[in-house]
Amino acid sequence: MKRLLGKHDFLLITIILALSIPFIVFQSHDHKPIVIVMREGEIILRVSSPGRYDVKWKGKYLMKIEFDGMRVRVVDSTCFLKLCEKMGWIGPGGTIVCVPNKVIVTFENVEKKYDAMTW
Amino acid sequence: MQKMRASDRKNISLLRKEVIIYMFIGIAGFLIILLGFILKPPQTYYKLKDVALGTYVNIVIGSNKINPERIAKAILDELKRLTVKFDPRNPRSIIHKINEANGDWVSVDEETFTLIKASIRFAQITDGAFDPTLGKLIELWGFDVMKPHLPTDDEIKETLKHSGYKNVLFDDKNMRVKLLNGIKLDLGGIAKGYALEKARQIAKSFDPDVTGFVEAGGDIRIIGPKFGREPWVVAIKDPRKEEPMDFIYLLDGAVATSGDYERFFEMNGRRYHHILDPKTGYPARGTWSATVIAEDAVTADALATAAFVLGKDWRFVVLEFPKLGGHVMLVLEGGTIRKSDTFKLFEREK
Repeated sequence: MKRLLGKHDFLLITIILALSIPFIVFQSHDHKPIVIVMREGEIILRVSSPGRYDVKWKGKYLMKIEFDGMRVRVVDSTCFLKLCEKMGWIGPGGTIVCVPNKVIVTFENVEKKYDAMTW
Repeated sequence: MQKMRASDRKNISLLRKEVIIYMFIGIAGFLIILLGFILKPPQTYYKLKDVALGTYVNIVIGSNKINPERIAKAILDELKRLTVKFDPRNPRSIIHKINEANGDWVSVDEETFTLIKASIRFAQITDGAFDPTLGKLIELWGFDVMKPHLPTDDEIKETLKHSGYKNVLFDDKNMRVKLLNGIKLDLGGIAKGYALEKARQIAKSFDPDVTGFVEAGGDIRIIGPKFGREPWVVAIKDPRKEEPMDFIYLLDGAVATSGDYERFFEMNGRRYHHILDPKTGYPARGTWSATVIAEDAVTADALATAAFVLGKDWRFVVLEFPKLGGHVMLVLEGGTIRKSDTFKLFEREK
């Protein structure tokens, strides 16, 4: 009797299946912190490498943020309150809000045990 | 003949092996597809983050009938409208107009009339622990412009004379409001809750089966269960750390927290925060945070402030507030936690 699949076919199928498991498991689990800066619901800056970055809106300078690879902080802001600067460093899951400039600094791809936090 | 039988047996054996291998491949493929479904949520939520009501807002909407982005943007527009309308510092706001009317009657729209009446009702049922007439005291402390400072005792005593919810008069027939004794309204302790209720109302007007939640500065209004069936997991912030201290599970309703860490300054080792005790004119003492779960966001918001102010009398708060519709968790000064029995029901995933 002639076999439908040979030894090499089974080997190939097994390799494809084995390779597809980690792809499915890890496809939505990227743990690298990415900082996003938002204004009026739109992302105006996305940062994945450490460094200091100017945040501008329609060409106007609003603030400067610093990202160390894990945490982010506002180091300078044009707002009069400066509360955003006083908040200091935040890590994934945290949010800095500058109400006068209407700017939100937060993280993307953050996995949390909860959907929202009351504070 | 015997030779043929041996060949058949060999073929059958080979066939069996192949069937087993095919079954293995089939089961493995099915499991992988199943894994993909388990790891991926069945419905995606549109998330809109912005600034409104003087704070951070997060709108999370899911709908199978209407584009959720459209719903979220309509909600945001409404939150921005209410930000202007009820901000006492904004000259365009109705509250500013009432406060600057020098004790004259002011005609207001139905929304404003209802909200001010509701705020006075909460003042009455909490015996003044929640008081929407502390505008002058808030100004004196500088919390209105986020430049707080410590006033003198005399300044506080003098300003305290120009507060008190009993100084608000209503003309139901003509929908007018009048402030006596030079008081000023500040609806900061209830307007956020009202805005969240409006947010839910707008979402439901687009799609009655809409799900999600709206969050404004830590107050949360559930619009519908997660994926239509699961509770949303809400963390409660530890008042002295950046991490959660507890979790609650909400299918519906609202939750609000008042804490001494939101707006404060420290002087001579003492913390002065923005939740003022209407009876003393000073920041309320004895509580670090008060979290209230209620059926609606207005109740949760107003009772969270009242629970914080009354925190020293924690037995009264945890026993009596559920009768007012608020299930309370208090973190008292020093970190002791006190809860209503009804609050504990929300700590379990149903």
